[in-house]
Amino acid sequence: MRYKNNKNLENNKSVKFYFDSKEYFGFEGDTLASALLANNVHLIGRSFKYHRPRGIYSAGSEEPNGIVQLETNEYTEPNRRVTEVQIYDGLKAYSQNNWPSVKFDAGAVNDLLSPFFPAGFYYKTFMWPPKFWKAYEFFIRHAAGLGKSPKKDDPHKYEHFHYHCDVLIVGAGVSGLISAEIAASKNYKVLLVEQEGDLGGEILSTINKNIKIDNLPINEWKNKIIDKLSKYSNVKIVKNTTCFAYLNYNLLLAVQEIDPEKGLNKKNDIRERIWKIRSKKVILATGAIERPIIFNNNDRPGIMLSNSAKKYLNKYGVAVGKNVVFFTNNDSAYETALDFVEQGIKVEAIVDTRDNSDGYFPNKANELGVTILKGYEISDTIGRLKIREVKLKKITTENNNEKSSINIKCDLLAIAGGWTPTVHLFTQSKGKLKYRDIDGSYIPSEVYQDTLCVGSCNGDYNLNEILIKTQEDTLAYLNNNDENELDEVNYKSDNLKHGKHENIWITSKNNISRTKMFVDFQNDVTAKDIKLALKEGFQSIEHVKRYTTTGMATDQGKTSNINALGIISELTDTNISELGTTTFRLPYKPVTFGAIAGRHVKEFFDLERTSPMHQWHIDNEALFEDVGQWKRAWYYPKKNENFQSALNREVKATRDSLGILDASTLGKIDIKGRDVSEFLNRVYTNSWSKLEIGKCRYGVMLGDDGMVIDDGVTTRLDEFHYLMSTTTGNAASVMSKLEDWLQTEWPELEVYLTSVTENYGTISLNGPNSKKLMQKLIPDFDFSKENFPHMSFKDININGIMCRVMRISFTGEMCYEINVPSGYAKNLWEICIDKGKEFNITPYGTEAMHVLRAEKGFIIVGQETDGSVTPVDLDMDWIVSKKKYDFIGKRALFRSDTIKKDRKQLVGLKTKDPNKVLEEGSQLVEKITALPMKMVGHVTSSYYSPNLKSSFALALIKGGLEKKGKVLIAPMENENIEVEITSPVFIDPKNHRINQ
Amino acid sequence: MFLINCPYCGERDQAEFSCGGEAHIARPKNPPELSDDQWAEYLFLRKNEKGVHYERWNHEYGCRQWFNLARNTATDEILAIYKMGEAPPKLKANIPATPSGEPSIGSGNSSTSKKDRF
Amino acid sequence: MSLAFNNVLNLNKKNYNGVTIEELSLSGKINIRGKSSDKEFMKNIGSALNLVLPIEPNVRIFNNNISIMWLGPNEWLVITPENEKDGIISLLKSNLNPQKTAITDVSFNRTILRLEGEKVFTLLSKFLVANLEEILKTNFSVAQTIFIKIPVLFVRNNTDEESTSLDLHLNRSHTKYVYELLVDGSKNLNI
Repeated sequence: MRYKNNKNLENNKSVKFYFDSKEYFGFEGDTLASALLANNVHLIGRSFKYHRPRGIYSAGSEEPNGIVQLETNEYTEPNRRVTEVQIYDGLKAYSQNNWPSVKFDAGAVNDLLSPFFPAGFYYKTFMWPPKFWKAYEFFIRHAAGLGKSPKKDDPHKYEHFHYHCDVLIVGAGVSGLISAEIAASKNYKVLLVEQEGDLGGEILSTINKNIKIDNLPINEWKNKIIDKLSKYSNVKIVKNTTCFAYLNYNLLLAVQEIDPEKGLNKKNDIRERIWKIRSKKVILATGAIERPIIFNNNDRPGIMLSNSAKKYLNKYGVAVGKNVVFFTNNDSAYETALDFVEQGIKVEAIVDTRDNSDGYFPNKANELGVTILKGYEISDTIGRLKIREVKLKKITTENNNEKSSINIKCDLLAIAGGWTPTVHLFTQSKGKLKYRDIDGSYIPSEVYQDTLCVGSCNGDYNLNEILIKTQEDTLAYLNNNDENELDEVNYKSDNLKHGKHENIWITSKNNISRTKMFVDFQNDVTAKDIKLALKEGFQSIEHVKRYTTTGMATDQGKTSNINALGIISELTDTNISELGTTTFRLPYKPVTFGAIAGRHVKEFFDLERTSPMHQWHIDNEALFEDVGQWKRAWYYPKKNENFQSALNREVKATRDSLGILDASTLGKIDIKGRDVSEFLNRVYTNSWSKLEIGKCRYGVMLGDDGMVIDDGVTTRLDEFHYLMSTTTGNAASVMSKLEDWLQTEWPELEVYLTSVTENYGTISLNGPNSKKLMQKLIPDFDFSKENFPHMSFKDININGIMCRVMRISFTGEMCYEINVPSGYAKNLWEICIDKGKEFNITPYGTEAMHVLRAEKGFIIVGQETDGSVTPVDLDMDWIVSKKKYDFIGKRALFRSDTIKKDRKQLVGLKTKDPNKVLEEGSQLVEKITALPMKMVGHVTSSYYSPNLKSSFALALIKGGLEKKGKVLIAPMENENIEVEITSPVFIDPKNHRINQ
Repeated sequence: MFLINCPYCGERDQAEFSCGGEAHIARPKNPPELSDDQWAEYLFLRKNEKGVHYERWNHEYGCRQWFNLARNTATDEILAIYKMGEAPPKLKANIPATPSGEPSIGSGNSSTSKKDRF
Repeated sequence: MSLAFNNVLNLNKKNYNGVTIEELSLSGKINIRGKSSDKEFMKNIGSALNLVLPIEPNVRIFNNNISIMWLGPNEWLVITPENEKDGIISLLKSNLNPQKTAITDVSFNRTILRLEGEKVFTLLSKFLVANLEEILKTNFSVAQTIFIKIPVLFVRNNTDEESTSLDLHLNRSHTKYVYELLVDGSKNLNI
């Protein structure tokens, strides 16, 4: 409930929200946690394994228990920490992992059965017999996970943003603010990132008037420094932004929640933004997380970290309890207790494991007459849905059986087990930690990158110490230890004495075998589980972690890892420093998939490249196929046509009269220089020196392993000038590989490569009437076979624009490929369509192109080849020069493996039933036997041909070249399809049609 | 992501570069005279060293130039960058006992060898 | 009747929340290759264009109508008015040794989007990993870099700090996608 004198939020607007469909009110600025606690809602959910009632345990990103499902339908989001959700109007939150309700949960029977759910329960139980896995799986899947993942598309938008700065400061608490001011005063470009909505960190939950900086109450000091920072134009401050990864070379990732008050329940412009920050220097001021002390039944609602109770009290004006018991092993609980007393809230007792403390706050508490029970520990708690009572026990050093237990009634048990520096980012940066025995902390010791840690993440907890060290260290870090620099910032504070911390991880050590001492709340891992794991022989902390799953929930053990180490250390009588820590993996806290994807979803999922004629294809209702990044016209269905009938029409029209294809996507590389012919001799299998100017030649390119990597036609434009074409998909990689050879292997060659892929749109006119259309386009040009034969090239002026026209063919038909400067390509295409009407000109897409080339037995690299196919395998011996001493890939063609007789070789296939089209990728066998059958090859391309009036296919078959005429079988799910091995050339084997 | 100082363009993000694997493996001048094993050695066998690794990089999205880079594979530190054709510098790498300066046991790939600890 | 020319976007200069985007009309673009260590080559280029090829990285030099950008240690891009391109290409070809150089007309390879306004760098930071502001810090600088996964060339036009004007050269086929991304990104520039 809110306490009476609260002024922090009550002037704010009232906000209505729902938890488990019940209506509540909070204030603008509340987190869901503070608003629920203000409404006396403590029971938030059920635990993962035992379905135990759980409440809010902390007030920050470390929260292990208070996780809810937010919103419904497309807006829903599971596992949100109530401590981080800012409330907004109409917010709907639902408790997780319970049925039928959070107060009465049928799964809680697991709690009674808990002796039967030891560490590694699933590993042990569901292993045998193997056959039963299918049955187990159903139940395990059902029981697994906490929230429910959304079923609909996320309507929100997310984006990424790159940022470069001189100094990045993570965390805007006392030390972060001071470091930021120092960096700002030195004119660095500064980025200050804060995970909460307000700057100040711990200051925001401090009201004690005796805590001062420069004689100002700390909150006033904070306002002043923030005001100063805002006046620097070289400082950028982003709030609601959590740094979640520290990568190589000072690259840090942060996720920013944009205007959280706008709410998750409606579509906002941008919901989250990932910052990719590259900073020259990084100052980590990430603070520290309070740690629990573990005892029996330590997980009940109403048990909370002491400093979190303080934050609810001072920042949100929410008293989490009316009768408070503190349990501590250090001084920080006293500071919180004093704040409670100041608000007139009853502190029943401070239970301190220590015999004494001479610190400032314990002395104050003593003066005010607060009950302090020294040398006591909590042994157990009572209260099913919320804590009602704690049981205390006197800690005895000797083994006397002094009966000394006390019971105290309370509605809040606040635990202060010391502090754990938030070193996650520091260790991600590969910085080294060292163990400090006096307070059981792993603190930064050696930096690996250009990094500085300041404040409590550096293990400094005392305000005075924080001020001195932050200022000294920041100055030294930014001045590169140049002592002559003037120090403009010099903040001071009184040194309030702190008593010694006592390392206590767990109470009632001898009773660990009782099961309810929770170490990891979210994964329901108890001290007993850890003990069992050790007993079963797990030695490494990493193995204990995985076996028990401690620290592996969505909170990644922020409040449990160090206690797990402490327990292992005590059980094994090993110093913690020898155990090491588990790896702090990124992300620091869960990041939504939406944020990771950014804008690269739906229309921006991947790059799209479009040809110069793209708009025409759209206007003419083409369907598109993705070829690499290109959108290529796939086929152009007319009304009432399905895929096959459109395809048949396109294929037939091309063979019968005239087809037109947009081939702009093929790679085009302009090659110039003294040694061009020698260069081509080295990268292609065939010979180029004697190619006449104006002539074209087909080439196959191999890797040095002898395997085909690309093919295409290259044209000699001049003595020292060629134009190479590559396949669409390999344009970039071929260019890059050729450049590699030139720069690194053959610097002596004078050859220059320039990509002109996009400089030309390519219109491919195919079919017996292609010459007639060309003549119509350019009436005064001599298109005779003598002047312009197959495999030759002409520069032709078409309507005022110089075009490169090649007579090459990928269909087996007479073909003219017009390369027109791409800005004019669409217009020329339209003119072709217009003038070609009398020849029934038919635009065809990539599918018809595939059929047409396959009918002719032309391969497609990447379809007939898969990186394991040589030109010899493709029956293309003729293209492999025998005369050249060397070319890329030549040596490998004579390896013992590549000259084997039974390599897979390219053949044609015809199905016995001409209407049966094989599936591409089908395996082929010689005879049907029991499984596994002996496979002899596979289908690489398969289509129905309207020209052959039959199905046909290309395939790679072991020793296939020698097996023409043999019958093979493609065993399919429901039938066995018989096929005959044929030549891969199905149409015009003598090339009459091309050579007209 | 590394920051790589292209010898031609200056310091840029790794995203602009592509790596071409181990450097200083010259293509043999006489392939037809090599045995299968010798050819395989050139084609397939690479060092995969922990420590100094000399590798080829290409500033693909910048000046398109290839250059050499020496990297400590144990720490991902870039030790030297030099142009194609230049001889590799002699370098020593700092090799931490575990990949990332983590404690010598209890983390990463380390601790199971110490038997009978508990 | 001569063939009609099509821009990629058919787009007039338009303001998107403080960033104006405009597809520039066709200009002549000539790719020059040759060795900067080849004195004859450098001299011949210089006399043909009345400009010395820059050997410093990431810079542009220009006179009244020609602009030359450094693309690499042996590669440059010349931007000319469209109607002067053919003349300049013939001039270059007649001055240079075809065995040791390459002059290639790449006018249609790429389109140029002109981006102007104070939020240009903010907008581009959504897509660029490079520290573009730093690379283009000085007048007459250029930067080749990666935009999402696309190779691009940025050219700085402005000669003062007050206004930002950049030319973004990108592959013709990528233009539509990039333009749509830019417009989408411009919806939220208060970062």
